[in-house]
Amino acid sequence: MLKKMAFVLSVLLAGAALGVGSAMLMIRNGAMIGRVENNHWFTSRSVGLVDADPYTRALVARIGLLGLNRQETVYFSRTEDGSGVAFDGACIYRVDGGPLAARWWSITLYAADNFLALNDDDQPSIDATSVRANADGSWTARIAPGRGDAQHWISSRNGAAFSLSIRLYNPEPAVGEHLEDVALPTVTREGCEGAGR
Amino acid sequence: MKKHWIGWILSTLLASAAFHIGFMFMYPQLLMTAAMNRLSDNGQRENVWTHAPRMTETARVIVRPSPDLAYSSCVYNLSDGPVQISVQPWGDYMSLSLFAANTDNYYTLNDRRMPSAGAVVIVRGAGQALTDEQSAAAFEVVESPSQRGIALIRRLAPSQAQFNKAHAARESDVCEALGAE
Repeated sequence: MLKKMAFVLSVLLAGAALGVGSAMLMIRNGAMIGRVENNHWFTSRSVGLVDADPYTRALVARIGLLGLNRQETVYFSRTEDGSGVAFDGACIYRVDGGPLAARWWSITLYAADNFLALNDDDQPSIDATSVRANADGSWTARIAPGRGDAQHWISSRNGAAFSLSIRLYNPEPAVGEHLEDVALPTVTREGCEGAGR
Repeated sequence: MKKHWIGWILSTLLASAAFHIGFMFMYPQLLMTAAMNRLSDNGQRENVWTHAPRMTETARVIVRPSPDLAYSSCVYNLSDGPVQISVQPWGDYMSLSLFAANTDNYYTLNDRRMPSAGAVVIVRGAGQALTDEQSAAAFEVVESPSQRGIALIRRLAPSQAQFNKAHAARESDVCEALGAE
């Protein structure tokens, strides 16, 4: 009897550790069925939808709770520059964009804890109402600890290993249909503080 | 002995698969419940709007907030019957969205579809009846998949001046149980 109880208990304990541990690992590592990549930005076809799979729901609950479905808003995120190197708050990045296929858009910087970085300079984002585009619709912004001479600036002062989110509100229908190749801004690293970076 | 270990390993694999799937399903509900509790002061402020201050770096209630939007939230609870939500118009992008307890965004109404004078939306649970008068007054009647959920209004307000205007508009928004006096 005791042997049987020990067997069941050990199976349950080991099963719980393995099952919950592997689930947490998948959630933390961003495993997402339906994930769509677009030039270092990523999104999911299922954010907010009632047919989202459990993995997408779990990831969205962690990084995008109360996100809208893609008919209303399309969210893309990224954690790395155009060379695939993880963002670093001490570096300077150039963001090059053009007209975006949505009624309103914004780009926001988040710290590793998924909240706005504690920068104390009120420059967490740029958006369609604040960016002055060139005649051809192109625009440039800087992500850096300081503004420098940039017209459009997102602060990474205390961003450390930051990430970016782009929100496309009331996107044109083509956006939802072509998530993998809709035109999105590029992000290029221009330099970093300190040697060896 | 060898047979015993094979049985243990197979049983553990089965148990871990069950825990894995169960946890994946529970995780969003747990986070949503925590969010509902935070937004409602642990259930003390249900069926009433809470207007969040401008999203700054000190905001720590919901992950990845937009600093360019004015958010209002209402944790609704249908245990005492349907809940009526009324939304004042806004001169730019705005939306009312409803989220079930499993995080699903099951309803959204934005300013493009909303009447210019604003809208009344009634949220009800399965089988909850409305009077003809209540139904007639509503722009839409929506059935919530869960007894509790979150109603969220977003108003585009990228500047402090816009935020102040949004705040003035949202003070007239209503979220209340239909039976409430």
